[in-house]
Amino acid sequence: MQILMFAKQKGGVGASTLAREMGTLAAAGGERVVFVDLDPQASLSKWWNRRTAGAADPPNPALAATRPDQLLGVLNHLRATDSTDLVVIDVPPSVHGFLLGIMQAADVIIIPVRPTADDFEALPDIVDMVERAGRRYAFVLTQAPTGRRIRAVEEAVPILARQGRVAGVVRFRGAFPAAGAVGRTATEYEPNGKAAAEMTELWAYVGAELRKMHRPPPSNLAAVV
Amino acid sequence: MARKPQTELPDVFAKPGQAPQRNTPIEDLPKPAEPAPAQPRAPSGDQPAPAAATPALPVPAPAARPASPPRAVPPPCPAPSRSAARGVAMLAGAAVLVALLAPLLEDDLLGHYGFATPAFRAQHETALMLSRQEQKLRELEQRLNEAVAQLTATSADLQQSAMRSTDGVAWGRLLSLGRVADALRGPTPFAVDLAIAKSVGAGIDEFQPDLGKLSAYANTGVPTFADLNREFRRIADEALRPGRGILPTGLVRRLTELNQWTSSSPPPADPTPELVQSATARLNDGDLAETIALVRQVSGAYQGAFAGWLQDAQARVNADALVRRIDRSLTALARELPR
Repeated sequence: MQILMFAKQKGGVGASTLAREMGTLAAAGGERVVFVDLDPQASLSKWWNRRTAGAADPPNPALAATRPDQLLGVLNHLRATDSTDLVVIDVPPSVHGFLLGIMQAADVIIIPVRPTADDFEALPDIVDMVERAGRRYAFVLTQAPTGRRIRAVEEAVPILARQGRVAGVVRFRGAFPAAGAVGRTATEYEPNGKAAAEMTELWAYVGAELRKMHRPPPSNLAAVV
Repeated sequence: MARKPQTELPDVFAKPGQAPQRNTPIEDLPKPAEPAPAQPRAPSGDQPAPAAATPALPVPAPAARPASPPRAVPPPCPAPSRSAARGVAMLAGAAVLVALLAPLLEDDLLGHYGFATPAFRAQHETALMLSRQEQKLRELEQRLNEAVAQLTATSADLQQSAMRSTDGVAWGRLLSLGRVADALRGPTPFAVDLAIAKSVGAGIDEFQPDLGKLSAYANTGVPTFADLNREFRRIADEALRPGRGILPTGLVRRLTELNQWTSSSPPPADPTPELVQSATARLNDGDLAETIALVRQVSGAYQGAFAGWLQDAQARVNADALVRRIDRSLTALARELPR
């Protein structure tokens, strides 16, 4: 079981959107995915409710309803029951010390950030915490203006790249809110759209990062012998 | 990827369409104690999450608290007895004693329990520094011994070669000069190589002015570009990040200035952050000389921080130039040798 966490210091950066897109793409690839929504706004939970309302089968991605202080116990439970391949955790915008424990449990941490000065000035605290956790992390530039040569984006990417890896740039596209409103993702709502292409590309990166951190359980040599 | 069978979900999962629409704000949780620094963890998909002060599963919804029984009225406090007063006086005395001794015991006591006081940290860092210096000295001594042993062997070979060949002296010059150049290329001490080169008359005198500039590094070696690169980043981080910030303030300000919606912010008064940023870019390009030129322009407040680095970097530039000259000389010497 692997854990993908979306961490941020500012709200509204699109972390919940990225979480549902990544989780759904992982599920489409055959992974058993569980969302964990620790954000009091519960955007991810509400979207998941819209998505699964009336569903008869156990949905994939599923959603674990847990309080923040019970999360690590829930993760251990999921690991012990081998019921999950990937846990996608969305947390509130915060650098509360409690999040450090969750970060240390994560395999990969994604930090969404918009190309604005306000967002960049809020970055050091969250990056500091992620680095203290010592986990693999990457930035995603979100809600970037569309267009070929946007100065804010062109300047932001190299600045982020000096600090850490940049997983990708996600533009501000109408497909995201439109898909979210009906409990879908951009890749499902408009499979051939630009938003879907960006998300697929981002998942290729995130999935590769997760695979780097994955080590299959040792084979049962006794059984072979 | 093949779709895996969805197993029966444990009760921790929300029912479709019925996930709670409000979670406990993290800020309402008690702030946990600062955990130990993260240990490097082998990548694994099957390790348990770190232990935390969390209750074990299953995770039931918090049950309604039963109505509490009427609170009993506590009995009135008895008047303090004389023995109790004596006990209080002894406790107060002990407290005064602890308070008086605390400054003396603070560092050892707190250090014993893993609390780093400033004095404890300073002591620890000094011990660490001494240990590193001792280790470096041991390494240098070992290198020196190895170099002497190798040179002795080389000299013996050279003597044999000289006996075998009338061109032995030329070979000796070539080899000894080559050793000096090799030592200058890396962070290796070159005092012994230099002495050998002088003793075999390798024509080292022609390089004496340049070697004089590097005399301070003869016993320690000239730092390599990689060392300088690393050291520069460390100094730049320390000098330009007053708080615990991660992103250099200069980078953030640069973005702030570049974004149209914040273009009204005033230009920076101190050019140092920009200079350091440009210097970092030059360093990334491998242009050490240009980096030095930029760093020399930093404002007075930062000059002290970069002074040692500048000296080392200039030594590396000088060493590289000298190596190029020696290489040319070696090529010329090699041409004189019989084929």
